[in-house]
Amino acid sequence: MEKVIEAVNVGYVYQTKYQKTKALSGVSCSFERGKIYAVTGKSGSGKSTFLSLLAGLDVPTEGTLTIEGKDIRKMNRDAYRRNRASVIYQAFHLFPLLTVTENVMFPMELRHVPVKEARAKAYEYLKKVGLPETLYGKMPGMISGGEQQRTAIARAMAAGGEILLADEPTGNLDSQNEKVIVQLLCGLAHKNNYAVIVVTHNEAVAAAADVVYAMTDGMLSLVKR
Amino acid sequence: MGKFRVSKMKFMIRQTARNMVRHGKKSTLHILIGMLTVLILDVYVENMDSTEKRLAELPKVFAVTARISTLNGSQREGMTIREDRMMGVRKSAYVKDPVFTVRLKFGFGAFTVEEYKENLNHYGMGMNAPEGVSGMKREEIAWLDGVDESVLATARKVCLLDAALMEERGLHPGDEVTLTLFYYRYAIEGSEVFIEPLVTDIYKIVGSMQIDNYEGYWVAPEVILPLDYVREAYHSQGIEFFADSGFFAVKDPFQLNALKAQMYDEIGFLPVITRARPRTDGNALTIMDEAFIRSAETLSGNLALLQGMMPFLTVIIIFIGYLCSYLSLQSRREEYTLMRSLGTGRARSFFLLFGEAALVEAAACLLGSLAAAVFLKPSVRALALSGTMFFLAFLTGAAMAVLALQRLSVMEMLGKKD
Repeated sequence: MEKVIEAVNVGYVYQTKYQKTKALSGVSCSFERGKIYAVTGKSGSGKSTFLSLLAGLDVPTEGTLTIEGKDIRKMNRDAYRRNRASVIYQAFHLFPLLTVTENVMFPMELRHVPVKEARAKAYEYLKKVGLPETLYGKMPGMISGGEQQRTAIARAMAAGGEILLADEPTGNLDSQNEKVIVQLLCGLAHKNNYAVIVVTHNEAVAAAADVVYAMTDGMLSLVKR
Repeated sequence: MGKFRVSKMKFMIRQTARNMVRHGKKSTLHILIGMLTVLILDVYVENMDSTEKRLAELPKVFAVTARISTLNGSQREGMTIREDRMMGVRKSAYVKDPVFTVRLKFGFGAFTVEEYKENLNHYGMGMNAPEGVSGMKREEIAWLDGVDESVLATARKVCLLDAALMEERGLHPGDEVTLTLFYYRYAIEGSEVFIEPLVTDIYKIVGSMQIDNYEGYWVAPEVILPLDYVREAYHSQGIEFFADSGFFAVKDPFQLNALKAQMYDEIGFLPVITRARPRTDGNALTIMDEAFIRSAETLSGNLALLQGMMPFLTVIIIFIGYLCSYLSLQSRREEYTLMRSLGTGRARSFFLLFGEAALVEAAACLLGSLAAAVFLKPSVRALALSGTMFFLAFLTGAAMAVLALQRLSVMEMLGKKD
């Protein structure tokens, strides 16, 4: 299968005015479309940092990270996040003052999709993640955590890319909602040909993944292929 | 490309308008603070404008006048003011309405020096404006049709006669009358006065006068002749001309220094020296500028203070604008990082937040100016100046606040939240 993301000896150092902290060291791996990947590890092991680098929120301080063969340092990373990759978070990160529909429309509006078309597509994605129509006009604060995470997944789908990065997507959910989200993520990988990379503590999520990596003190190792 | 730009703009406008409405409470508070700032600015600018206006109108309130006197200041009439000094004053660009007089004695008809006892029994004056007779009001002069006071500033052979004298002599305005004029010659020191013949001529009576309250130090004149006619009469007789009194108004009191330089340095007047010996020389000039200078200094001081406050005020407004935007953006850090994580570029996210601040500030500016127009009624200039000052300063503050927000690490912010 086609490699979408490839990391070779990736390292990352957090640098403040007074100290340097090595968060990642010698990370090498690759990710393909159509698969769901899990990156497990303890808190502070560097999983979220790795995911942020994959999302193009920063660039590695060492090694190379390529997206479809292009070095991420030489890419327009805003455009990459706008068009290719989307991220969902444990805390959902929805715009608090936009409705559920408007949240899903936002990435499309950023890409200048006409409002009518964006609205229709938003309804389609929200339907796909199984959110009842009665919630489409609600504000995120008025719906449950599981519903918010489904909205976030619908927004990730609306971004149009085929790379979905998820940072502890089930961390704030009960077991029932957890199952739904895991199913949705697996569906996106296997049916919609997404490369889904999930950073998680959760064993159930890891168990559902096709490939599992473990992150220990900033170093990545393959656990399950 | 054009279509892309239009959709980009539409998105920006939609987003900023939507955010402005959804952050209603903050926007309202921001607008209220802005309105208050505009009102305060309006009061400030209006104050500055009115001080400027009062300063400009000060010469109308405190007219600055000057009077020629003897060196010790004791005498303001009956002096010998040199002709070159008089002409210097009359031609000066800094002088308005100069008035000079010369005393005369006269008798009706032609007569010789030897016949003066029977004939030389009336008092007259030459002057270039009716103000030369102290205490005489304009309405006390009845001019012949088609003639006015400007005739006194010419060298025509005309005269104004005392109404009672005209009646006694059976004369009427428009008549011609023969007068023999004598002039006064003052000893430079001491109190000797000589009266000597000047000219006998025929004059047209161009008006009559009735002076009810003469306030001068001599005798109310019974005839008034144009000053320059009298001056020419002196010249034609080979007699050196001296004016008897002189005063004037300062054309532009803001050019007092230039006027003083001309009067004292070029024309040769001296300031009054009260201990000087009494002489009849009219060579001192007193400029009554104390009230004007005191008021002008006060107003100039106020204006300088207000103008000096402008940079500080601008900094304070920028700071308020910064603080308003900074505080309202503090609770929107998540929104900003989320926008960035979804691929909104730095420039676009800057313009989204800045555009929102600009809209709020435009509304504050408009409403504040409207409130000021209703309650304070400032000038259009004050409204425009305060509005512009507020808008630019607040925009600068808002831009600084948005730029400060952009220093946030999106990666760290998103990590913290989780």
